[in-house]
This record gives sequence, structure tokens and C-alpha cells, in this order.
Amino acid sequence: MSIVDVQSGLRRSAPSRRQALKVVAASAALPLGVAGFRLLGPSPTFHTWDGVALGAVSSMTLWHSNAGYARRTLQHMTIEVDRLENVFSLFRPGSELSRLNRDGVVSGVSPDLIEVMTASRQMGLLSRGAFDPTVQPLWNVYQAHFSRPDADPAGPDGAAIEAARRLVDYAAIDITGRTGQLARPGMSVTLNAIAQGYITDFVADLLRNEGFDHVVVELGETRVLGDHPEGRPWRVGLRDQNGATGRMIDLSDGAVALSGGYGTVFDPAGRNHHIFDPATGRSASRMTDVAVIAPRATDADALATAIFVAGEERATALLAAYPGSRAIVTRTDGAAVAFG
Amino acid sequence: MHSAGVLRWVAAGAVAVIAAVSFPALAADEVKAPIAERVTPEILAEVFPGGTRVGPVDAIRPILPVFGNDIRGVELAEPIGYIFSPFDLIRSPSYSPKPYDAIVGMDRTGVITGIKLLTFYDSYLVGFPDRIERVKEFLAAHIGYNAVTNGPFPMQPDFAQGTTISARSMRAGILDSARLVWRATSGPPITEPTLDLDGFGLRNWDELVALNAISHRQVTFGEMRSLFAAAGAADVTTEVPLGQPEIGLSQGRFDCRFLTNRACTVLPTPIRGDDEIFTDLYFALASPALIGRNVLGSGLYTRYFSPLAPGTQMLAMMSSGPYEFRGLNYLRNEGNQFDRFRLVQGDLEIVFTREQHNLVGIINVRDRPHLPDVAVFYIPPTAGFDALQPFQIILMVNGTTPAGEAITFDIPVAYHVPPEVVLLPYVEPPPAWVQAWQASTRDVTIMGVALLLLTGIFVFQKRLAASPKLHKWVRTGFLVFTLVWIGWIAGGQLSIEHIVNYIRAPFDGVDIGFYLAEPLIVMISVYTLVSLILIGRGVFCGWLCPFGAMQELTSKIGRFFFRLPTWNPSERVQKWLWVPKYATVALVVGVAFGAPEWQATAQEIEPFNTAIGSAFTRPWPYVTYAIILVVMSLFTERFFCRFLCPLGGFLAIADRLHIFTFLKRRVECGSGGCHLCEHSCPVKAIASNGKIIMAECFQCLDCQVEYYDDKRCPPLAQKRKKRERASALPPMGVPFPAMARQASPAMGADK
Repeated sequence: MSIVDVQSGLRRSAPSRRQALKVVAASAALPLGVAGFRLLGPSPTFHTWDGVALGAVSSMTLWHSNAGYARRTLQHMTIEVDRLENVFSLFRPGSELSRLNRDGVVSGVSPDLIEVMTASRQMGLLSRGAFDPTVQPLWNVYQAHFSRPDADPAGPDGAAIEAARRLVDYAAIDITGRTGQLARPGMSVTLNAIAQGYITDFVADLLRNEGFDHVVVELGETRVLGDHPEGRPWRVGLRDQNGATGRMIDLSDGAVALSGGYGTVFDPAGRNHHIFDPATGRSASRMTDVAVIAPRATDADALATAIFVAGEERATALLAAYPGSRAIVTRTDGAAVAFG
Repeated sequence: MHSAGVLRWVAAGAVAVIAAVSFPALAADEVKAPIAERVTPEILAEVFPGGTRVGPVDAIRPILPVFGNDIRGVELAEPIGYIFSPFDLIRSPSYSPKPYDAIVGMDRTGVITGIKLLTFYDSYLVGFPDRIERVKEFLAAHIGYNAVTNGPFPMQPDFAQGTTISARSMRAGILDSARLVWRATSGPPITEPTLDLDGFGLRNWDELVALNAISHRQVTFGEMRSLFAAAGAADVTTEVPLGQPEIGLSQGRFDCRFLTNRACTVLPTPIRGDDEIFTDLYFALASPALIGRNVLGSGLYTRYFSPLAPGTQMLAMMSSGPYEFRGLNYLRNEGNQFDRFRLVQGDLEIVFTREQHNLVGIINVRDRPHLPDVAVFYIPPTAGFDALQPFQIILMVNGTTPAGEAITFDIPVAYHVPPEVVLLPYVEPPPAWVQAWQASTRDVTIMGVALLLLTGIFVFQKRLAASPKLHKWVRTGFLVFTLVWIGWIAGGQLSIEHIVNYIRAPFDGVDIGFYLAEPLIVMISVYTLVSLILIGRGVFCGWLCPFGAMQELTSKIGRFFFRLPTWNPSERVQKWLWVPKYATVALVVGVAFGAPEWQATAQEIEPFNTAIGSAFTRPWPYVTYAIILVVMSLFTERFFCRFLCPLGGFLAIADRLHIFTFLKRRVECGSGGCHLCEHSCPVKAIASNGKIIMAECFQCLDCQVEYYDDKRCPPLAQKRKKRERASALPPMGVPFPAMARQASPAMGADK
């Protein structure tokens, strides 16, 4: 490179001493200016959206200096949350999943449904069926049983469970191109063990691409980007079965999902709850709960359900398939064991 | 907030369905005393001020009706509101899956009257009195919030881990159950705007006046006299004598007390001060319970309104002052018509008759004006009156001129039923992206004006470039606007991320509304695309990019104030340095498709988020990188834009499409021997052969300023000198036309 003086167009071989000083001074002045700007300019704060997504109390929190921009971004994200609810919600009769369950076939599905179905199948294979999105018929049986006022607290009778269990088979979901199909009539799919994680990831990824450094997304599952602005990891509190202060975990750039049999219980003793073991057709009861920490909420969400159903003996093997994941199992006697 | 509202509605519906279906199962997990036992008199007073007692619990739902007294202390037959708990109704969880218990009061219009948090299990709350206090304060801020109309929340929780979730979820549960209660206790769904006859809450006189539920007109004697005087009928005789203030002390008024009415009318006209009240008229549409029950009191409202045929409207008229609104003529005139007022609504005129009214008499209530004359008037459904439309009560003052001619003065008083008593059908809110545009009207306007101005700059670029001073100020001014407003204030920095999103859109199924929801980015993108096709990339890069503006402005400051030296690579080296920006755009787009998890990292090549989006408030590594780029631009104009920017690279590729080139050149440029523009081009986009490399041009118009400068542009300066010499010393023997040809600017020499 050579130095060109615009005014004269003359070329010189080296800068003068005076010019060299100027260059150094100007280079030093700019960082000082920026430091001043950081001190005097708008300081970043937390901006939060709160609402409900897939039936869960949800929030998104950003740390940013431009309040208007942060607010618009959060607003912006709700458009995608709403769209994804129209894919995965069991409560919206027009959602892709509801249409699949009603008609047994749905065409022109979104890439999101395909991706979640694929991830579900993978988890189903890995867990040898402990994780199975086709357990919805079991839910229907339990729901019908326990909504009778004189319901037997032990749960539905064996024949009804067995009939429903025959409809549980994740391998019988066929996704070809953009068409999803259920192999047997009466089959029904729930993606509640994974879709919230997917939505959480989807929004978190959008926010990361928008350049936000400190983000907490709680759309059914929890995913954080970066650290807390104070420079420490985010502290996420996990609820225990009594709803009291559970374990606190430190989380940076990762997700945590909790599976416990106390989320939605059918009977007073809590023996019958919403996480079913496809092998028995009964509510899984190998542990009190499991928290899975993984880079992505989709994986954490699905792993938590898989480990909860499969039991701690198989936790290590399951976690090994998802690099960076670990689990904390609370045994039925209250002891906590870490895996991964 | 609207789409959050929709979500919440959907969720509320979902929660309601779950609650309805699995209620026995859910009830089993925690047993609490029934709501009636949990609501003590103290809690009643706290959550429903004005409520005197609760009624028996609703037959099908755990809802307690609240009763209260009307203005006279008589208990109202209908409940004035309800008390309930989300615990009983929807078992909504807060941060803890164990449901909390909050006793909530709501009046019948949907307004929350009080919230008392009883039990909760949130781990971040139990044992932290200050946090509990904050959550309670937060909930208390919603007293007065209408859960049904779903307006903006009065308070957003500040972020505090754990407690925020508790606060927000408690609020969501409280409002969801409030809506359930409201729907359960209200009538069928509303399909068109309907007068809400039943909605009720206690409102005092001042509140009703503030709502415009009561209209008021005060007329003084002075005003009446001047009205008549203005009409040339100063000596008119009226039913209530208008009197003469200038008569002085009159015996008439004094004596009148001791005489019969008949005698009184013949006495000298009494004295009436200008400020003395002729009539003080109040009236209200009394059919809605919110107005009628509060104005008349419960007993009178029920007595007069309930026997009416459905659809009949009731008007309450009240006054004080000698000119009472009924008069006496209705007793004797034909048809028994009231002649002191009528109702007008558009073309409709309603004159009331004796059968259409009931005298109420005096209602004595503290805290309201003393109004001795009160009556109700009925408007039958056949009258064609629309209670939702504005109407007027015309106060009529009748008189007789000395010539015996009848004369009537109309004093119109307007009334429009307040929105508080109108039920509106639920309107599906517009899509979120439409709301985003509606919410940023101001920003969109500013941006629209700026883009119009920029278009003007390019349309009139010749005039602008002809004046170096004007060009300098317009350009600097626009760049300051771009950096400060577009960049820092409005957050409108276009980024490669947007381009990647647009490219990916057909593949990843993201809602189109998602892209449309960023009004400024959409405007800038469209403008950039159009200008890219018409002129080239320079319109965006040189004028609308905030980071570009930042670099140019800092280097302008450096050069103007400190005369900093400039480094520029040689033409040959520069050709190589232009390449990396194509590599960065390939990298970013490739990563976006091939390894989306690294997209955000790849995009950090752009310092836009650091320097513009978050105004240098990001962590130091990012800030350091941005500072390095800005420092480099101090010495090498727009170093980042020219050599590294992926967005610039993308636009430079697409620049090959541009249709027009408005930048003017001469034969002398470059290969013709002149290199002035080449040297003055700040980004060195002019090759030594004089050709402008459009993919690298930032449309700053500096070369055009030189082009029109007849002191600097050599061919032009030469012509000017010739011309000056010619005009100073006209050469002998040269014919005039030849001279003129020489002096004209050589436009024909343009390339």
C-alpha cells in the first residue's frame, strides 16, 4: 500500500512523525469515544413478552439497549409461535397434528412437522420405544376413565389399556414427502413431549440470528442464549414434585427440560399421570423426575421423556447419542443422581 | 399484545375445556374449603369495596355473587359483582404446579375490584417477604382493569427471576377465570353493538357525569334575556317571567310570597339577576342499569323500568330552577303533550305525552346537585329511536310578543350514550404484522419522507452536484439522519440476515407475516431492491446503511478536524481486496443453508448489531471488532464496506442487473488524460481509464460535483477560462455565432 494525499495526488513513501502521532491519537480516541457512548448512551435492560404457548405459561426475555427494537422483535416472534401452534397444537382443531389425528392422513405439512416427527422417530428408535409420540390413545383412555365421578383410583381396567396400547407404535407413522399418514385407524399422535422444545428452539434460533446475546426463551421448555448480562450463567430453578424450591442449575447457551409424573395427575395419589410407558400402557413410575440439560431444547425435551420412561439404567446410553447433554434423575426415594 | 391476547383466549378456552372435562380428577389433588368459607367479611371488604354481603354460591359454578346497596342504602336485588378464585375455576398453576389461591372480585362490567392472594407455593416467593410484596403490588395494579375488554395491561412485571413468572402466570390465571365468570354470568354472545341493559357497577354522580352518561345544561336568566333580545323580542312574555335586572329593588318578588299565584302574575316583574338560574337541566338515558340504577336508585329503577315492554327506552330528566321541564300545559293542551322539551334524532322528532311519563319527584342523595324535579319519560320501540345513536334534547322556551305572536326558543343539549354501556361483538384483531405497521405509523411516515427526499436527491442530482456546498450539507445531513435515526433510534439497519431470511423463505415455511412485521426493514428492502435494479447498489450502501454512514462520518470528522492521512491500496491490489466480500456473502449464505446453527456466528462478520443495533452495548469482543473496523475506516474510506461486507457483496453481485447510469463522464476522463475524479472518489471506484466501476460505487456524487465544477474539472475550467478571456477581450473579426458555440458547456463531449 502507498499513501496518497487526496489534495495533491502526491505519493509519499512514509508518514511524517507528525502524521504518525495523529494516526495513533485518532485510533486511541475512537475506543474512548465508544466507551463514553456506552456510559452515556442508552443502557440495555431486560424486555419481556409473556403469554401462553401450547397451553403453557410462556415468556421471552431479551437484554437490549433499544427498547423499541426489542419490543418489535418480541412481537415479531409471536407470529412464528402462533404459526407453530397451528402445526402442533392438539387444542386447535385445524392444526396439522389435529388433522392427522382426525383423518389419519395430512398432506402439505410444514417442514416443522416433518422435522419434529423425524426427531421423534429417532428418539423412539434410540429409546427402543420408551419415547413414543403415538401414546395419545392411552391418554384418551385415562382421561375418559378419570372424568367419571366414581372413577377407580387404580386406573382404567387392563382390557381398555391393552386395546389402546395396540395402537401405540411410533414406527407406524409414515412421512413421505410432505404427507403424513398413520398406518392404523384409531392411532393418535401427541407431540407434547417434544414440540414445546422445538418451538423454544425455533424462536431462540431466530433471536440468536437477530444478534441478541442474552436471551431466555421459555415456551414450554427453557432455553437460554449466552450468559446472564452480569457475566455469570443464567440460574434456572427446577421445580420439585411439591412445587417448592428444587435444584438450581447454571445454564449458558443451552436448554433444560424437566419430566416428572406430577405435571398432570389423574388420581389423588399421583400414581396415574400423563407420561405413559408404551411397554405397559401404565404411567411410568421408575423415578420421581428427571431434568435434562442439552444444547437444544428439542433434544432436552425428548430425552427427558425418554429417560423418565426408560429408567436410569438406560440414561447414559441415551445421553451419549446427544453430545453435550446430561441428566439429573431424582429417584423415588428422593436421592438425586447425575448422568452424562 | 393483541396476539398474546388471542393466545390467552385460546389457552383460556383450552384450560376451560380441561377444567370441565377433568374436574373431578383435578379436584382430588388438593382440597380446600369451599369459596364461601374462604371469603371472610374482611376479604369481602378488601376485594369488593362497596359489597355488603355475598350471596349463596352459584348452583353450578364456584362463584359467589356479591350484593350491595344502592344510593339510598337499599340493597340491590341483582348482584353487583362476583367473587371467585382461579383455584376453584381453572386451577391455573403459577411457577409451582400446585395451584395458588387468589380471591378475586369483579363487578358486572368485567372490572377487577380487588385481588387477595391467599396461598401459593412458588419456590421463589415462599420465604422472601419482599418478593411476595412485589407480586402483591403487581396484582394490585390490576384493580380497575377490565378483564373482558382485554386492553393493554396496566403494569408489566420487571424482570426478576422466578417472581416474574409467578406474577405473570398469576395474572393470566386471574384474568382467564374472570373472563370465564363474565361469560358464565352474561347473556348470549353479542353479534352487533347492543345496549347493555344489565351490566352494572356502582358509579356515583360525578363518575356518571365524567362518563357522559348524564348530560347537563345550565341556563341563566341573563342568557335567556340576551337570547330573546338578540331575536328582537326583548319584551316577550314568558311562562316564567324573565324579569328585568335594571328595575332595581322590586316589591313584586317580595310581595309575591304572601299573595295568591294569580295575583303574583300581575305584580311588577320580579328582579332576576343575570346569574340567577333559569333552569339547571340534567338528563340521562336511564334504561341501562349502569346509568338508570345509579341515577334513580334501585327501587325506582325497577319500579319504572321493569314493567316496560322490551325495547322501550327510558329517559330520566332532572332539573332545578324556576323553569321546570314539564310545565303545566300538558295538562290542558290537546294530546296532553309536553311543550317545554322534545327529543330530536336526525329527522326523528319525539314529543312526549302525559302517558309516556312518570313523575318521580325529589331524589335526595348526598354528593349530587339538589334536583327537586325528576321525571322519567318512555320512548316506545315503535318510535324509531336508536339508543346507540346520538340525539338531542331540545329545551323549548315559549313566549308571547306584545303583539300577541307566539315565539319559541330552542336550546339543544346533546347526548350520546357512553361506550361503557354498549356491548360490542368480539372483533378478531388484525394479523400481527398489520398491527406492527399500525403501531409504527410515525416511524413509517418519517422513513417515507426520507426515502422521498432521497429519491429527490437522485432525480435532481445535477442541480445538487452543481452546488458543492449544498451537496456537502445535504449529504452530511442525510448520513447523520441515517446513522442516528434509522440506525440507533428506529433500529432499521438492513443486514445480510434479512437477505438470508428472504432467500430461505420459500424453503423453511416461515409465515409471510413474519417478514412483513418489520415495517422499516420492509420499506428499506423494497427501496433498495428497486434502486438496485434502476441505478445500482450505491443507493443503499452510500445513503441508507447506518454503519456505512457511521464510517463515513467518523472519517469526515477525522479528515476535517485533524487532517488525518489516507491510505488506499493501489489499483492492482484493490482489485484483489474487493474479493473477500464475495467470499463472506458466500460463507454466510452457505452456512445459513448448510449449518444453520452457525448462522448467527457467521453473521458476526457484520458489526451492525454491535455498532448500530445495540449501540456498542454488547460484550467487549464484539465491540473491539467494531471499533477496529471504524478505526480502519478513518484512514481507508469505508474499509469494511468495500472489502468485507457480505451485504455489500450480495448487492454488488446483484448490481450487475442495474439498468441506468446517471453518473456523467467526459472524454477527457481517465484515458483522456484527466484523473481528478479518480483521485477524489473516496472509495476509489473509478478506474485509471476513467470508467466508474458501478459495483463499487456508493453514489456519493462527489465525482458529479467535480464534473460540474468549472474551477476544478480541467476541461470545464479550460472552457471557462477561454470564455472569460473572450468576454474580457472580444477577439477581432470572429463572427458572433462561433464565439457562442465555444462558450457553451461541452455537453456533447459526454461519454
